[in-house]
Amino acid sequence: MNPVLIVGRTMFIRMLRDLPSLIMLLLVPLVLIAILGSVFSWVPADIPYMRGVASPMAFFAAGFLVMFQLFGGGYSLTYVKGALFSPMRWRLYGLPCSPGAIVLGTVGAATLVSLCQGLLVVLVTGLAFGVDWGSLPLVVLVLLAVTLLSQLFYLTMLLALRNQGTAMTLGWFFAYGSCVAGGLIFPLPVERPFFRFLATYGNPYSLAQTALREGSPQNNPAVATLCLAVLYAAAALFALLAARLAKRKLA
Amino acid sequence: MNMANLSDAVKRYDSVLALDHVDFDIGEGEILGLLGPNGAGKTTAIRALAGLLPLDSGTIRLFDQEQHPGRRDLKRRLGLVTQEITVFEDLSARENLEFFAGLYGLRGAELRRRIAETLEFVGLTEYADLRPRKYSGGMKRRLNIACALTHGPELLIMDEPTVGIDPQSRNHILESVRTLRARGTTILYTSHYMEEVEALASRVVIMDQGHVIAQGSVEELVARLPYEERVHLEVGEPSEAFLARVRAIHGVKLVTMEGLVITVVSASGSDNLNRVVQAAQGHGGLRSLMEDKPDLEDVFLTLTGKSLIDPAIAGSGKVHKRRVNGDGGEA
Repeated sequence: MNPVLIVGRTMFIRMLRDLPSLIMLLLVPLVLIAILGSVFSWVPADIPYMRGVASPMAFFAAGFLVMFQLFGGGYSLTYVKGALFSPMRWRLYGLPCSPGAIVLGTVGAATLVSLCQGLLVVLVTGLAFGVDWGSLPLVVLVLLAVTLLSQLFYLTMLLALRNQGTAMTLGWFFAYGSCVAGGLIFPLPVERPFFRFLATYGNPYSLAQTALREGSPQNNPAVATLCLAVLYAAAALFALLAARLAKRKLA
Repeated sequence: MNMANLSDAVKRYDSVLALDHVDFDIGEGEILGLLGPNGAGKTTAIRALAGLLPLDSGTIRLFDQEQHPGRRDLKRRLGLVTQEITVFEDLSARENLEFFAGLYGLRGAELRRRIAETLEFVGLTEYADLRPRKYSGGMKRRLNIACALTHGPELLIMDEPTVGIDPQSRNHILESVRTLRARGTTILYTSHYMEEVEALASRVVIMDQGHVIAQGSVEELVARLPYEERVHLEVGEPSEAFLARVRAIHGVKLVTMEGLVITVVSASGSDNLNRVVQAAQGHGGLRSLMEDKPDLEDVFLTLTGKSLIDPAIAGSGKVHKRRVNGDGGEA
């Protein structure tokens, strides 16, 4: 078996056994969706926060789904740090495989775990709360784009800074900042063009939300495609950056 | 044939010269003990040998080929037991071995057979499916060793494999090292514990501040010392006649008595212990006996003017000198 696959399979098992992360990235979003979706179904639909929102449950489901996917990059950061920036690196460097294979396998496993968690959120909210997710392939493509971007962003921060704490903080700012700029945390003054752009295309959260919203045939699939293309391009950019940094720092 | 050879190896970390023109060989089938205090350069030498670090200058040859960090083919023939415990705590022992051995290229039935053999060898078969976080320190150390053994390395590099463990696990590990050697594995063994190196190694390299300051067999190194042998004993009936009898033994240079303790100083290599014990038989027999022979610690002390024993770990190693009861048993 290819070393990348061996590393990927092992890291996947380890991540599935990581209970605190599973609670944080799977249980917490489901609980938040359930509580906030229920609470806001009882408040008047014309409050600023809910203006233009067809279903509070769908709004929070899509919002927290993307938000926690953006936090999912913590998997790559934690497991690459544990492998190659700790005493474990001496054993791993002593193996007849490259550090790059270890990074690739770890990021692959982290992407898969995060994607599975996102799909579970989609499944549970669809079955238990009646959220209509529309086209499942589109949801998978959006989830994959967001989680890839997140994994590669966190990895790039780790490789650039080597300090897990600072890299994690920057990752948190990236994820939470996107959600703030996307209007999940509080309503943005979208009547102003700048904020309208910010809330529609201006950050990963907004791009993912726009892709999910516009993806159905009755809306504007071309816009969804554009948003997805931007997300994948951003992920590719961070992949290139991470590869350059890895070549320099893990040699 | 040499399995490994460091030649004129130099490695610098900023202003610190970790390896200063280091030379040593590891012969096929031998256990080479690498001794030195913290900061001596042992771990850097090991990492360079294992292809984990590039040298600034000098060469390393493994299995008659040049070693450098890109040589994956040579890494396949090596096993590295790291000083820190480097196993995944969230994987069982079996899963850890599957992972590491898989990356060494073992597959299928061969992989399963080697894992079963290795678990048996390190005494972890019963605990194979438990995660190491439930293991004792000694069991974790044994798993740490197992991860470097499953693929059957020709050269095993062990960096302080017994730090911080109970005597039972230490004995198990030392016995395993002897067994590996008997099976033909060449071993580079570093330790702070001199009695381990004395007991295991066919040759010893002593390092200090990046230099090799001495190398040879333990006997050769000790023989170079200008030391005298000392025996401290108590007999049932101490008397001038006994002291005179001991003074007459060949090689004895000085006999003194302080309180009830008689000290016998002999020339190095006299090996007078048995003769002194025999002499005591006619004088009420032995009450206690302590032999004060020069050892690697004395070698190191003489060469560097400082003790090899790290104060932080002193006391966790051996009882440095041998004390014998009157009945001849060790105390």
